[in-house]
Amino acid sequence: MSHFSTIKTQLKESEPLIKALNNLGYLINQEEKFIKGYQGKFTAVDISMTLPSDTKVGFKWDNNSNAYELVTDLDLWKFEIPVERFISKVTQMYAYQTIISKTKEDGYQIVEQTNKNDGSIELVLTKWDN
Amino acid sequence: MPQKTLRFKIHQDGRVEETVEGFNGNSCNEATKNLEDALGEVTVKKTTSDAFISNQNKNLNQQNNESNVTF
Repeated sequence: MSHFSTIKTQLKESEPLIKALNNLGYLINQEEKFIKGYQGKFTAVDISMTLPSDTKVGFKWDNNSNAYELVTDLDLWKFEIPVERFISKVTQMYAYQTIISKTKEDGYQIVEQTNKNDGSIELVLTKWDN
Repeated sequence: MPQKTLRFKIHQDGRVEETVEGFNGNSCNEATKNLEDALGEVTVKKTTSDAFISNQNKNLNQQNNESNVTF
């Protein structure tokens, strides 16, 4: 039997999220426990970092969505890419890290990895039955 | 020794398309359940032709059972 699924990725675990941020070259410094968020209000965060151009961002666990969400003050956003693009990049890399670590635990090996022209990443993994 | 294959396309926005091949029966759903839970919310799920055949047989059996109950 085979199946095909489409999954909307949510930032549900801190480990692949931290790996994803590191992999993208963003350094987590944990300097701040509070980050200026919506309407300039200081919000407690679990992960904090300073992007180039002195843009401060954090991630905080949200009980309603059961996932980490981004905290930043959009009025102070000076980073070279728009915030939507930043979230997309983090989410794509989070999905990649999650797939790599979970399939490795199950004994799969990567046989193919391709970065496509449309910006997507294609992965093929296999395992032989014992 | 059948080979089990997982194929993923991770889109720029983080959306993931997953194809799972080479499993017997319902084991293909169990094989990726943990991964799907860790990734997020499954929005579309389709079983492919070989799975369809086994489900069809199951439906036929169910229909037979139901008619037995009626009698």
